[in-house]
Amino acid sequence: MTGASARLFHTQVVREEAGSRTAADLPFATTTQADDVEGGGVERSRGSYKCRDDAYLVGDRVYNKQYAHLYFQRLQNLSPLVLDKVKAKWPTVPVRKILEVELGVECAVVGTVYKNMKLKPSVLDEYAKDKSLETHLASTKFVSGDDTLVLEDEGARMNLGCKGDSLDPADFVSGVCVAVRGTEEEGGNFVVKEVCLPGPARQEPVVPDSEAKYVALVSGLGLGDEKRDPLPLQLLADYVTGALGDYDGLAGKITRMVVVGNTLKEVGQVSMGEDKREASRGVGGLREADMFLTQIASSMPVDVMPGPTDPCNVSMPQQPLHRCLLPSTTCYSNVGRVTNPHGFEVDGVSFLGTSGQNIDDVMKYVAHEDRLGAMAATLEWCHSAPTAPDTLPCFPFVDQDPFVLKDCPHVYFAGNQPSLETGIAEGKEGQRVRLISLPSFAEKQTCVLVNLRDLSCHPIVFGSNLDQ
Amino acid sequence: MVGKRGGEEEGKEAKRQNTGGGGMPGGSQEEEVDMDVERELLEEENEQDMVEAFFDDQKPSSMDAPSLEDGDYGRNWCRPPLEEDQLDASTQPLVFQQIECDYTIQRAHKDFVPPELKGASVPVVRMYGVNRSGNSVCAFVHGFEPYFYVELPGSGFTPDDVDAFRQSLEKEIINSRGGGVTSGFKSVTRIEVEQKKSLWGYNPGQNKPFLKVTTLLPQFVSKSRTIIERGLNIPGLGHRAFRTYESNVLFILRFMIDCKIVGGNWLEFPKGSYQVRQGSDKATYSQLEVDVRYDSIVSHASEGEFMDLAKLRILSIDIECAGRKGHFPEAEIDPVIQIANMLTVQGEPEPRVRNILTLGSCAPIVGSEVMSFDKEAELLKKWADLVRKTDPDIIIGYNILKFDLPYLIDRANKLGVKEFSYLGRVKNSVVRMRDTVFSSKAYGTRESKEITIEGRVQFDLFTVIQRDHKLSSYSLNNVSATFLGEQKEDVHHSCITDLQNGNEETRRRLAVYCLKDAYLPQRLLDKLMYMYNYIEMARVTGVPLNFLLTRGQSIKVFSQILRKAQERGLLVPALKGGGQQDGVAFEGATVLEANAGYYTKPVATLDFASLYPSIMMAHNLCYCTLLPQSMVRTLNPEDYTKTPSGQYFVKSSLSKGILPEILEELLGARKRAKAELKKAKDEFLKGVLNGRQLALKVSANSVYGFTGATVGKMPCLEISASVTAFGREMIMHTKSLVTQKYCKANGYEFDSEVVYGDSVTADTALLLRDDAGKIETRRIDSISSSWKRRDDGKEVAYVPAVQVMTDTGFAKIEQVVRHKTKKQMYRVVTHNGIVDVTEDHSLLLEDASEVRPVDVQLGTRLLHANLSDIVVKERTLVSKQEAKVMGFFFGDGSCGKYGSGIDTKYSWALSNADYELLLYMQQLCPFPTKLLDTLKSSGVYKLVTVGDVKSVVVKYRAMFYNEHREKIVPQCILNASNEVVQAFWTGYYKADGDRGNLKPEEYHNADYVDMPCVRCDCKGKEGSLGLYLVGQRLGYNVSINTRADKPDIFRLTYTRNTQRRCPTAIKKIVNLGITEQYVYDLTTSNSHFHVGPGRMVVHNTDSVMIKFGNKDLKKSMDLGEEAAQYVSDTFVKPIKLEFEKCYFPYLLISKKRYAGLLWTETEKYDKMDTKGIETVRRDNCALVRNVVSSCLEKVLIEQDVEGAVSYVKRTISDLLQNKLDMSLLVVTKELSKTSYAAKQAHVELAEKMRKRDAATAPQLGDRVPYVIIKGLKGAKAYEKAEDPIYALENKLPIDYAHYVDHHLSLPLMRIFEPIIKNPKSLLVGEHTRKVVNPTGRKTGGGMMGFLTVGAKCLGCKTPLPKGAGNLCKHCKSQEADIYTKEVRALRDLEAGFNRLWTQCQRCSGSLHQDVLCTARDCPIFYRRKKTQVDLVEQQEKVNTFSW
Repeated sequence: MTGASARLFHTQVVREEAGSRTAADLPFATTTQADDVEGGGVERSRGSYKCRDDAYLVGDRVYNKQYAHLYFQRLQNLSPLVLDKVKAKWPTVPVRKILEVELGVECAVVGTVYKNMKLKPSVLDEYAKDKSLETHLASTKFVSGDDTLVLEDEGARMNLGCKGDSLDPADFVSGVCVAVRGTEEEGGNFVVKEVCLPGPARQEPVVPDSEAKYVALVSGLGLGDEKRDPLPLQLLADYVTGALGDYDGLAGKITRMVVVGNTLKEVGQVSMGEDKREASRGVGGLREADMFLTQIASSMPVDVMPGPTDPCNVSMPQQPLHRCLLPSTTCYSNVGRVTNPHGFEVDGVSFLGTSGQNIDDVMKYVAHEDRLGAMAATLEWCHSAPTAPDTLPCFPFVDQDPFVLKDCPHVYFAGNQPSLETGIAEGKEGQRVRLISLPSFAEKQTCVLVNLRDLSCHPIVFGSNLDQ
Repeated sequence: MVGKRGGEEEGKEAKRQNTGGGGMPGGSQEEEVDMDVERELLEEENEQDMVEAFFDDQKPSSMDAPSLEDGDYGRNWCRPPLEEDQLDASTQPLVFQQIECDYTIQRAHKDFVPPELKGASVPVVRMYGVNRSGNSVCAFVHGFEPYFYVELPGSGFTPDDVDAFRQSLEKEIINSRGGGVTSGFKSVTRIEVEQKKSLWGYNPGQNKPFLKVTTLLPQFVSKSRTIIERGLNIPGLGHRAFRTYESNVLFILRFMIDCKIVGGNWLEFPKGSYQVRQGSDKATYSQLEVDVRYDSIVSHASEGEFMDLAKLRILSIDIECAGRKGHFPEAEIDPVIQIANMLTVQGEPEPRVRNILTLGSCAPIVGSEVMSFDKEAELLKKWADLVRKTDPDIIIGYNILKFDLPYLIDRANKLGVKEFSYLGRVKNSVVRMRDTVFSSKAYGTRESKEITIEGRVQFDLFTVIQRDHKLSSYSLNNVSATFLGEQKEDVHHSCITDLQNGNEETRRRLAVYCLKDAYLPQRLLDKLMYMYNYIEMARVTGVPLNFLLTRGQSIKVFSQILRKAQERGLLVPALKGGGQQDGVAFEGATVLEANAGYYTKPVATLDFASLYPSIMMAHNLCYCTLLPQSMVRTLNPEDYTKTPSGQYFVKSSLSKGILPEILEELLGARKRAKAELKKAKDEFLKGVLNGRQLALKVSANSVYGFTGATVGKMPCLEISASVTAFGREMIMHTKSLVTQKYCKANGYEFDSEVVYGDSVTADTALLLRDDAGKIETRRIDSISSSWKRRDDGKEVAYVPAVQVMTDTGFAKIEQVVRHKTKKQMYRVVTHNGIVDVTEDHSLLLEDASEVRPVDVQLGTRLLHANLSDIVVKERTLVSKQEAKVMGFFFGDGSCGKYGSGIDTKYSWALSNADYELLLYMQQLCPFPTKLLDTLKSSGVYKLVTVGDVKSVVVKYRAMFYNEHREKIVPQCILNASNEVVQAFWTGYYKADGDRGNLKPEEYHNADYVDMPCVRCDCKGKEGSLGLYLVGQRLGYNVSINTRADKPDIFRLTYTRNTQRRCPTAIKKIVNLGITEQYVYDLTTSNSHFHVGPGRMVVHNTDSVMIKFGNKDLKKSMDLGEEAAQYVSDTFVKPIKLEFEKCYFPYLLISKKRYAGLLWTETEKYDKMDTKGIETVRRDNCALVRNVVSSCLEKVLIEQDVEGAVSYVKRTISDLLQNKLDMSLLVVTKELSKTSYAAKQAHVELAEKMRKRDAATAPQLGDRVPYVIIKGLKGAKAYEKAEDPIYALENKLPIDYAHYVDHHLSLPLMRIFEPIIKNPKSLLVGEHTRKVVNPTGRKTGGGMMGFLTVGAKCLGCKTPLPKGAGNLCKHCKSQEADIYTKEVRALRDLEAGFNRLWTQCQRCSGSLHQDVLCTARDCPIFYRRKKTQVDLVEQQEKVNTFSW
């Protein structure tokens, strides 16, 4: 629970200190032993699995539409939720369309928030002569003191006036659907007294399995970097496949591994006329990835999500990696090439995760640096990627908004984050969500095991520096 | 009642048509000066009727109190209610800021006009304004009478005569007007004698008597002027004409000057001095209406609390019309569907009211008031209602004068909405409209409508911005992008009708757009601080605000002169305007420039600060200090100055000039304003002060222009010629000082250097003088036979013993330079001169400022030399007889040798068909001759030499022919006495002259011919120059002309009369095409030289450059400073040469093209300064602008020439490989006329588009964007232009090579020529080898149309059999590679798609509505479309990889 989001989010985020183990804690078996235990040296727990990526799969990607439809769908999907909340929260306040707002009469209005930010980079800046703009572009945050909010519904938009503490533009991002209660003042500003958010959505109850089973999450393998130390990844592979032996009794209980995006460090720099050797670099990373994944897949089911640096489309939702990129892995039936975001259910525990772009982008809009807070906020907004399409590339959907959270996941993770943070978000209606801000493996050599029984979280660090 | 803005008619009647309130076409050609002339000539005729009408007319009273259902915003429409005590005139003074002023003719007010005028119709001034509380005020000012002065010649004019004079004048006025106008009152109210002096000429004596003539009505002033200047019969004195003074002063200006009122200042009527009108007495819609006598007005200077602006109400409007498909809206047919209004109160940050009137229902808009109407007439009525209700002081908008207001007025007329026409403040007075053409030297020519809305100033941002700023485009989009930094959504007019015909939501969409367009002008007004600047300007120059908007510069100077003269008791003579427009430039001259090249060392530039104003101040140049030649002898030499142009002015010790005083005050005030500006913290105050200092600067500069404008109120060429002559002299002086001081000889590390450029054609004739003082003509290519090659490839020759003619007499030739070129040549012909020059060579304007041939126009006046008083020192001895023979020979003679070796024959012959004439010549010949009858064989008789033919031939050949076998006038004639020249001329005339209707005997034997007017043709420039000189010697004015069919034949016309046309104005500019010959330039000590034939003077590439020995910027600046100080000390105060800036580095491409980093301090450069380089010209595609500016940045800022070169190569490579954004390649041209003689790409394209879809095709006046696509082989360039959107949608391939060859090549060569050795290497070589030509679905046509494009391997382009996937078997193994490559392209496009379309959402201000914008000016307009098309295609490509 952070100060910045305190006024808005009902979801309680309970932070946990992630007591991580390191590889140094592991009793070391030599890597040669791993060969002996091909196929997993342990009896592996299995869990029921359901992939819920349908909405994110876009079969026919046609780009001849504009983004207005997406915003329209978003508002269509979310306004009933908001309205329900509004009825409960402000039973006596009349709900109005923006066009029906009367001067000086208090009412509630539902609409999409748009945040005017002068630091927001614009494609037009490329044409600006003034070079000083570049300094703005370089900054990772767009937030400034001059940011203002507007609220837009199907008919019109109005400026949101922020008097006092009721509404701090620094907490909001573009593209969120909310209800606001307040009055229109002279000059057209709607002065907000209180805000009502659509979420979090309903959550299916979990029937805890008696047995502790784990799902392993790892993000940002960052392959294809020649300078990278190959050992931690090998340790990871050896650990989860049981080649290191089941030292702590966890490895054998991993039912599934999710390789969250940015498996490659960068999309191969293949370009016409350039050096052939450079061209093969992308493939080099791919080959490593292919090998790693086959190694895991031989032992357990794996989901591979694409990330922003993977050879895949860049606009959200990212489509599964193409089979030709991972030729060997593709042969394994228990490898799921999945979308980003990726939703799935294991033993009735629902997961939702992204490779992190959505949260990274939200962070540019808000003043605070609280990643878990931002994740909780997206649950609160019932939308996993509100800043798409404004600043996050996104497919121009016409008849749906796949990022609308129809229900609340039990585990919600974002990959490629600066550091490991985890916590429980608790909603007013009893929702409990395990939030995981998952660091990039290339940076932190960390893999996280999520216990399906109690949603507890066990990070394991595969530092290669054995001297410590 | 029709009011009038201003006063009386000018003597010279301008032809014009008044279109009244209608839309009659036909404008009036008014020049700047005519703008100062009163306009309502025709209305004057109706004056009487209207005077009557005022008292009878009882128009619907409902308009007195416009009723309006006050909605939420309704109360904001209204002004604050009047405070009760403001109505009590006996206890309260009335203080208000007046903003607009006009007058009307009314029955004299009983309380404020002398009783003898009771019942008369007299002029009443109406001043409109706003008081401190924001109430509108209209003051009727009574008792001010129009008057002017008449000069009395000498004595003998008794008081009796005064009365006689009055009566004659009265009679004449009645005659001219048909009587009865003044219903029994005297037209000339009274005449008094006053002791005054004329402003014109130094006049130390006593005051002299002048008649002050006061008239009843303003129009009688100019009427009287005409009568008096023409002459009138005065009993006892006979028919006499007199000069009038101040009879050309507009009544309103007269009133303001006499009451010390300046435009937009605060006035106070002391308590008890005025009366408040109430109820039905009120004649206007103003809240407070008062009557006052003119002499009770207290006018406050703009200081302290009176510096403020009142709470003026500014109404910004924009209309939308529903045009038909394919037509621009016409008021006759197409309805007005929306009017947006933004009402702002001056000083408030946000508009008070945002309102939109719509035809048909419209969904509500947050923060705005929407009023919907079913009938257009109702809408218009309501709008007029709102205007009256809110009572704006100023109406603003974008292009409202040319579009919105005329459209509304025409539309209301068409629909018969009578109430609409009453938009002004005066009740029952309709809006009037007529076409005008505003033409001014300073502002250029603009067509416009003049709309009279009484009491409300119309401020069209379009006009004002067009005047004040040089932009590539004046579309509202571009203007707002430039000044507000944002793109505006642009809805195509074909789309507007569709939106209107949709539902209330689509109309709302349109309304939002319309509202934005109404808000932008207001924001521009604020951003550019126009209210402050214009009010400041009005206050400083003393003219009403609307004069600034509708009139030129000169009225401002005139107003100041009048005010100053009045203080001194001087009278300003009313001069007759006339003559031609004068070309006057106000620019101060840049003194030190550098030679073409790329300089990596600092280059200092020195400038004169306010050059012309300082000259006028330093030398006390003014009307009242101009010393007549006759008085020069009566004064001490130290009391006057002789200017370089030969005029005399007394020094300020004797009498201080008015103009210097005005200038001192203006510049002094500017200095103070600038000082205060520096101190000011408050933004508001800064705005005011900055506006003030700018206004002062412009005003100071326009004073010189005022004296030089020959059609102006008071041209005084003595002043303007002296100013320019001083300027020239100073520049030369500076140069010689700098060259002498800053050289190695004086211990500096560097030499100043004089450098050269290219110039004139080889056949240019020069007038030379040798050391002995003999003159001769010479072709420039014959000036030397020994040329030395210089490092830069040019050849140079020195001719030490010869001087060449310049505008200031003969001057030393320092060197001659020639080189071969490949440039466009231009022939520029004035009435007195001709020159063939390269495109970038400098011609000289009369003030010696330089101008390129491509930048001059017909009528531009150029500098000419004076050839009439060439002093020939040593006379050659030629007998008059032989001179005659020579003349005849020049006309009709020939000599030469034939054959070769032993068999050489010589011949000398005069040929003429007139036997008598040849007989006469035979008598004169000093050598033996015989006459041959060759009439049958050759049509002429021949007089040939006999005997020693050879010696005659050799002599004559040497004298008469130059190296190019062109006939020339012998040097011995040019240096002979006048008699001999006369004899030569006579001989020539007899042979070749145009005889008119002279009988043969009248010229056969005549000793001398002295015809008043002669015309002759001559071949070759040198010969023509000789003949020109002969004519000048004999006192003829000689004009020169060329023939289109024979460019080397020149027609000279000699006349003793003054020449009809301005001798120095350009009459022809001919493009001679590209030359590859040598071109020449020569350098003289004064940088100018004369070119023959004729008198024209051109500029050689001059320029002293201080080359600094070290790279140290600081040191260079110090030296610049020092040099400036050093030179300044030699000038009369306050002339000052200032070190202004250093360029470092500096890329000088040619005279008027350069780029450099400008430094005024050593820490950081101020900016990159470019001139004449393709960074801004909008005819160029963005690619050129980008490449050029990036190159300049690299070369200048980063000083990375290598980087620039590789950047260019990369860009060209990208271009050829189709990797560039297509919007960079879009060229835009305005479709201005329907029929162009030559086929032009954009015209052809517009036609093509009209055939495709008439609705969206470009209309006349639209800008047509196009790209050049690959056409069929041999297709003309204009056939290859295509609509960018169409090309995108149909994937037509772009002709990339065309862009390299035709767009990039020239600008790049220009930049890189001075920098790198082989600039051509940029355009050819390795990087241009790889060319990607996308095969479109539909290529230009031809055979491609029949081909089906088969599948190809994505990896290696090998054709694939059907159904074989997307890769061949060899590439299959690299599938991941190839896939990754395609995905990368996809990712870039996806990211682009996202950024582009979300930007468009941001601009259009809506998330839930589709973007409709069609702003083709917007840089991303094509890009977003292109990205979309490419993305779809790329996605398809990626999809071919099977899952």
